[in-house]
Amino acid sequence: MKKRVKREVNRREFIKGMGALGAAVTFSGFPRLAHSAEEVKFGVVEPLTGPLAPLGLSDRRGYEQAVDEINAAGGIKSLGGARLRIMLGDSEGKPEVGMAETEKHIQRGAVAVMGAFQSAVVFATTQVAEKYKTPFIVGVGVAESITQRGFKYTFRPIATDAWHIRDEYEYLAYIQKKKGVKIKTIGIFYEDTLWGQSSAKAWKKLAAEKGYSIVADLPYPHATSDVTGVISKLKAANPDVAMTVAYISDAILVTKTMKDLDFNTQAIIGMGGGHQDDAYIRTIGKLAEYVSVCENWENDLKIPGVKEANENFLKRNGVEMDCVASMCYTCVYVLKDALERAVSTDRERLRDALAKTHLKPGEKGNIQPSSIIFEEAGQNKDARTVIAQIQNGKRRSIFPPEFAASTPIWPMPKWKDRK
Amino acid sequence: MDTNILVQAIISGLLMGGVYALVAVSLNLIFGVMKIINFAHGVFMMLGMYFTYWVSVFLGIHPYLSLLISMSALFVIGFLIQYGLINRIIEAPEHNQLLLTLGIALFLENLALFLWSPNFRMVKVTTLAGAMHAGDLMFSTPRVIAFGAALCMTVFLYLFLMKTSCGKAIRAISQDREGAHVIGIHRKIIYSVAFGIGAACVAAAGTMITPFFYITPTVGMVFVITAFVIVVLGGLGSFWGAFFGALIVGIAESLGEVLLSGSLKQVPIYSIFILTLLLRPKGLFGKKHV
Repeated sequence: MKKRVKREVNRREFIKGMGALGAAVTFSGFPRLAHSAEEVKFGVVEPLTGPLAPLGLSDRRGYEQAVDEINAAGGIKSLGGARLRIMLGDSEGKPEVGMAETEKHIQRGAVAVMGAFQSAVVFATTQVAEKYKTPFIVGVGVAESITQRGFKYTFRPIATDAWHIRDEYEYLAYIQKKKGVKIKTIGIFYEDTLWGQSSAKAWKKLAAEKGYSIVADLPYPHATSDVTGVISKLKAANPDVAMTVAYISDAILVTKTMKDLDFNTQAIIGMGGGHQDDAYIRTIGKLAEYVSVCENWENDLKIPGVKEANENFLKRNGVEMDCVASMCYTCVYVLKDALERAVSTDRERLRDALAKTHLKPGEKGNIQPSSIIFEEAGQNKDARTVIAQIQNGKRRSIFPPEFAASTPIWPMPKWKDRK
Repeated sequence: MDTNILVQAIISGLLMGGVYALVAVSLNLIFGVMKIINFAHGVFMMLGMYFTYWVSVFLGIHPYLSLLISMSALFVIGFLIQYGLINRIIEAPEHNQLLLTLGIALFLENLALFLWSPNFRMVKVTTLAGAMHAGDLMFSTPRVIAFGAALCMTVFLYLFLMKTSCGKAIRAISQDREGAHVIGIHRKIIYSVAFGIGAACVAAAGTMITPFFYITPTVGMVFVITAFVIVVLGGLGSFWGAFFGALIVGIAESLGEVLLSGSLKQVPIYSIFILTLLLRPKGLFGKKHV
């Protein structure tokens, strides 16, 4: 027989209790913000399941590491050492699910929401955040138009896709000055869906402005069985530099075909995607050497905090920090900085504090290669990218020179001169 | 347009056509005998590639040497799938068979994703790799070998079907199910053997392309859609139709790649395909009564 314990609150006890509580509130002040046990909750929306799950996992690790570091160092000091607490939401890679998750976070008291990896999802989630007047810090999601809608509550610390291309041309200008070479002709080849097409448009526009001539303009279908035709046309055009955007499967095939056709040029510069993937190097080994890639971040950058963050990441997860994890990591520090200055968890005050963010590279957890200063519509106006080159089987940052850990090997050795 | 580029396109198209041929001929064998549209064909190719990959990683041997292993493994898998699963519904309406092979494909593909992750892999080869050059023309060595192997395999398969008693039984059953049954051909076994051979051939195609193509659980799709087009183009059930159809498609595709741009490279293939369906619905090499 179980003994049932009755635990009822009778009226007398209730009155006593409420009286005590009332006294406590009166004497200690309303337990609002400056309470040491307070938690500050924020939400993240990431593709934690589905085809993008591995990347969503990387994002999550970035957020969690920053949260743990901040809490271990004493939390949000201006809020009496309040601890940050992360609420995870799974977008499944779908905009409508992302919207629902964002709404859920906001209703459960998140001071801000972050995410969401895919531009399409970010488009939707930022709308929800705008509606509820809740700050949304874009971790990953590079479509330029996200911060062109005049939203008040959207903030993006990282560079847009168009700025990647701007930085590629800056790199070419830098190389010509540094190495005393002349670069006149550019060949572009790209997968022919939205990503490749919009990049091609930007390449052509900037090439015209900066006085380069595009001598080969070669789209190809994604996941095709053969690219011999594309690369033979590229070879016939003989450009000084070849620029590309490619998913990993195509990047692998293209690089092998370049070797077979003995296509040589001064540099091959990819952008994110396949060329940024460790599997690219792992899969084709030495063939990947000397290929460059324009990306948001690299884990060897000479910026205070990068080395420590990377080492901590390696210790926690057994792999080195990647670009997307670093961006999410930085977002949490951006939130922390704003909370410190807002001295409040009020979303409106937090928004105003975020809008006044000014973090130099290496300052207060900003491990990105640029300052973070948001313009009107929430884009970090100083954001820039990094160019890395695959050297000895690892991507090494080579540009911008003030943060780069290595120097460019220019031109790439011809195939026949390689071991 | 440089003539060199055109000649190069024809060469690489022809070589790629050889790989398509092996996929299409084996797909056609399964269709010709059992009238089953095998959606799992691309997955068999993927399994063949993974067998080759793991054998060459663990035994450290050249991927070509794993040919017999991947072929026998896929023969057994194909035989068992036909014997245990497809034979049960062989008399069912066609769309049911379609659902079954699609289901098998989904299952195996996701199993591969689970076991081996979606990561891209590549067999690293040092011998018989690279390319041969004749003037400005490039002949990728592994592709030339793949083409040769496809040609040999097709001839062997043809001889097998024509000369051996097992081959004759397969042909008999494809011509008249009931008649073959009456003269004592064990239908279920022959079906299973034919399906196994089809799977083994496409596994061989997988093995032959591993030196120059990446491996991932969804890789079969890259080839198998084209193979379906080839089979219809060449004529359903027509053996040499599939072979020459594959070469035509290979060349059309690579000429499309240099003359048109991007995804338009598929236009010549599908133009030929639509014209064939309009003007010669039984396919280029198809017999009147398929």
